[in-house]
Amino acid sequence: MIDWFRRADPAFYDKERFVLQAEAQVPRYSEEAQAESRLAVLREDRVFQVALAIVALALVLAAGFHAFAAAAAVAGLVAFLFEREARSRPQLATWTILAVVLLTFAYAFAFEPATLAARVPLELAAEALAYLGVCTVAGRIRRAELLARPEGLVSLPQSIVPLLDRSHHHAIICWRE
Amino acid sequence: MIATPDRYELNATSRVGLILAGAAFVLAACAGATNPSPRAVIVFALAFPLLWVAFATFISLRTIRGLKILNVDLPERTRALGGFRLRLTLAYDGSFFPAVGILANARFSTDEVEIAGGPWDEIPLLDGGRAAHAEWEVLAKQRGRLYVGPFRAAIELPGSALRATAVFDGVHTVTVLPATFQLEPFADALLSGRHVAEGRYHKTPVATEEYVGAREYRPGDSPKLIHRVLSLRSRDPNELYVREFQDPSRDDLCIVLDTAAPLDGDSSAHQYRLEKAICFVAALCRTFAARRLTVRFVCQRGSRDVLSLRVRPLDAELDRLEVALSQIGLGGDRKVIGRLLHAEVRRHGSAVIFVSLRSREAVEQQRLRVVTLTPDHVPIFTHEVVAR
Repeated sequence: MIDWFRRADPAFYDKERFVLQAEAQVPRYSEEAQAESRLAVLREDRVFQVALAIVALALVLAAGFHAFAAAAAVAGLVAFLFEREARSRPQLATWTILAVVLLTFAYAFAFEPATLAARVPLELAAEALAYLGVCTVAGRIRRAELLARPEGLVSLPQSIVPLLDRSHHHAIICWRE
Repeated sequence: MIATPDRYELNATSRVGLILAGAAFVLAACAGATNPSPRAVIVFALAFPLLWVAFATFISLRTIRGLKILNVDLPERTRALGGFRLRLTLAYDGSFFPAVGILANARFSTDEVEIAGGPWDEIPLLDGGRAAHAEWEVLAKQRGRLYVGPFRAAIELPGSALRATAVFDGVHTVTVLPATFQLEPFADALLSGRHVAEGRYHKTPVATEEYVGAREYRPGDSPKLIHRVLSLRSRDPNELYVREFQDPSRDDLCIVLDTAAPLDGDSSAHQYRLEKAICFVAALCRTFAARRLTVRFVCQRGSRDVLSLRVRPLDAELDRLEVALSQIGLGGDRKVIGRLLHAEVRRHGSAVIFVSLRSREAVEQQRLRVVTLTPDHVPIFTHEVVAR
């Protein structure tokens, strides 16, 4: 009887072996993939870029180029040291930019008090502009975080494929509407 | 169903970032304290970030406490590979500030695997006293039980030092019925020559028989069985109806499912064969039910646990069978299943179908008058497409 089945449908007869050997898997949305996706969103975000430029401009205006350059160098060092953390937790960028702003002001308070005292209204306006820029940057980073979150998620790989479905080896698949 | 959060989780948005910003703030404060000449500039520079972070953190903490689950919309049962829509309705009863950027997710698990945190769905804005939905599409491929929950709702405003998460511990169970194969039309061939065609030797009902319905009179029927009320109601005076009786304990055929691990292959191969056999049995029962046949389903669930279900061609009984099938594992013993098979053959004659997990028919089964279907036979009767 089995021989007759073999002759009748040889392709179907061999399916079980094929299914058991198939190791296709739906890739999980890795942290790395999400970080890349967030960066892509930020790269295309004009508002984010303009806000960053405004922060830099306001800091140069408020405390001078040297102060801004020194603070930016510190921020760059931090970003280099905590690159992995920044990829998984994008809010680190917000706090780093805030730290750059505060360090720039600290530099100006410590080394250029006379300059600050001479142009108080301009300094206040530049500080307000810088903080407005930081708030905007924080909002845009959060937006990128939300936009780049994974559409769906699959379960851990499952060694058993129920039925004849050969699409992948997962017990549960979930994605957001 | 209204559920309030069972607990709250508070996590720093970025520990390194907070330390960095805090250190910069302390440095700026020290620098401002040593040279306090442009006081307005220093106060503004220090007060703005402090107030911003404090306000964003306060709002995040305040709004998370106002969230509650109004409803979780999900089916009690679903079919493997069928999928369903999960809808979580969140309500916000705070009046101080609208909840902004709520993220919700759920944990999905079966007895073996789990998605600890499903994908986050966002509710952009939720005013006080209002409710909104978060929705997901869920597909369970494995029969059995799917647990949905606990649910989480998180709020993290830009500038907030903390990410506030409300955890709702309630877990909802969805029974995942086995997917059913779509059988080829020639699956009926399994019945040909196997069904015992018994003649009716007695003209009046015996004590064990029950009334099952009425039909038109055929020559040879006992006049004692004429249904007088129905016959009088008919327009044609020559049209007569007779009452029909049937023994309720008699089944048309029996399906025995093998649940003992075969000798060849590894555990994943055994499990795969069982999955396939279960889905095949479910499809077979539905096919026979469509032909108005009563099926007796027998299988061994555990060492002293034999399941015997009488499945009449009713949707409710087919559902009962599928719920039972969704919980069956490889808990059978070869000797016990052999004894079961012998008993069923004695009871049903040749109308027994044995869905085996072994790749070859055993010698002792070859002597029995049963149709044995090995895993190699199942694809012959089955479409590639799975019925949903």
